[in-house]
Amino acid sequence: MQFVIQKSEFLQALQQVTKAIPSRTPKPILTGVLITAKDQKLTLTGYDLEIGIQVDIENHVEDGLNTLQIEQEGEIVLQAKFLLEITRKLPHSLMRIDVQQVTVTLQSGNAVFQLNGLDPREYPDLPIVDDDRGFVLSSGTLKNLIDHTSFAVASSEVRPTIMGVLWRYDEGKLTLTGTDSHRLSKDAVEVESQESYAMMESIIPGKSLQELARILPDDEMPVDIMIENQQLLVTFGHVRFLSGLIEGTFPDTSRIIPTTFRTIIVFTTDELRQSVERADLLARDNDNNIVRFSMRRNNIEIMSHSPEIGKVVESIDPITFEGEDMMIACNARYLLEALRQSPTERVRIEFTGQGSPFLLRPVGKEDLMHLILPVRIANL
Amino acid sequence: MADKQSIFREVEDLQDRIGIFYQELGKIKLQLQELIEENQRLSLENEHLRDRAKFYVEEHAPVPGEALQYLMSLYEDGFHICNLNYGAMREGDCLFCLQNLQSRT
Repeated sequence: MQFVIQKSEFLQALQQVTKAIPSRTPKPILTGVLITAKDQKLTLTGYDLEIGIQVDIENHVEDGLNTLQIEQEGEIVLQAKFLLEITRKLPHSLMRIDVQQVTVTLQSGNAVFQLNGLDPREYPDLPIVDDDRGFVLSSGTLKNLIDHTSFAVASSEVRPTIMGVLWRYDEGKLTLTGTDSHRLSKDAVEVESQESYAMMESIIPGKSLQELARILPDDEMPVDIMIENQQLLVTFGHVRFLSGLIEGTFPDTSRIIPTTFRTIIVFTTDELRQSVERADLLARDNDNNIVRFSMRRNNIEIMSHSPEIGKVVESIDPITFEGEDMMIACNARYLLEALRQSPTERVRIEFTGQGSPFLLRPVGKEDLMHLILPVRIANL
Repeated sequence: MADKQSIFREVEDLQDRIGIFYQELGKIKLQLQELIEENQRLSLENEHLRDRAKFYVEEHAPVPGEALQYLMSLYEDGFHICNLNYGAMREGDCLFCLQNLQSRT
């Protein structure tokens, strides 16, 4: 294999695929990046058996120069960590890779690296996902859906099914639900599916989605989403992202969301977030990050205390207040994370009672909701 | 002559085997008898138990909500009662457990 490529193009692709390359693995070949030169196209692959990322690089002309020239087809696996560091520091804007068996000569300007490659035949095949059905979303929309829900998934492996986000497609609507059994976040979007997709439910690992959100561009680039054969395939631009699914049944959450409320308060999102952040400074020191809310008409107070450090009380003005007075305590971290994923200027919080979950809804974005279970404490 | 000898030996052999067969049959007959007796005893015992159970059920009718009480106290004692991880130690309240309790009240 032999090719010349513009360093910046190679580096960008390499940075994307290394997101899927594990630093430690029982299968050493996986710490490498698979480089394939075929049909005038260079493909980089990173795979940790759970997440796979493939990026294609094609030749185009920039300032009258070709960005990629493949002189001889072939494939090789190179240690991703070293290749990335080396590429970053190469002296010239072009780099040349020349592979003889598994010995790789990497040349850029006057620098010549001779690297020991790994046998590409040992590299595992990525799962094949091939289906006519799927949806198309804009990259920014998908990224938002993921950001709004994936933070809420469980991190402990005790309950594997809720370590993932439930993707449910039904009658043109895609709904994502993430929960760790103390809080739940849900967002939805209208999508057009290419073929008449029947009702579909899949659980996609939260970790995979967080990696995906990291490489999705913030713009309107169309993203193809396909779920088949226990795999998720997301394609955008020259990037293919693959992830395994979580097998099992997601718990029924339909009856968790309360429908009747005793107190409804609207806040300015930023104001509330900043107040809770201040209360959290002391709450961090107590057991469950507990902050307390005393909600009386026209006087809402946020309090927290730490037996060793001290206490804080802050009053906050609501925009509107409906219903009864209420006292509630909750984990500040859950509330903050939900507020950070509330992209609107105002949030409406709907309370049912001390022992029942309350709802946090960004005003004007009715598909998105965060549900938080308060902490029961004796002397409110 | 040798033929007659062998026929005689075969008959003798057969006689031995029939003897063994007869003994085994005897043993099985004894076992069958024991089983029949045990069966009789058990059906009698079963009948008595049914009578007593009926008596017990009539005397101690189930308290409505007993299962719910039991689940609630299990939850209060710090265990999950949701089907996600029933019986596991609980940290903080659990949405699914509460849903479970609520749907039963």
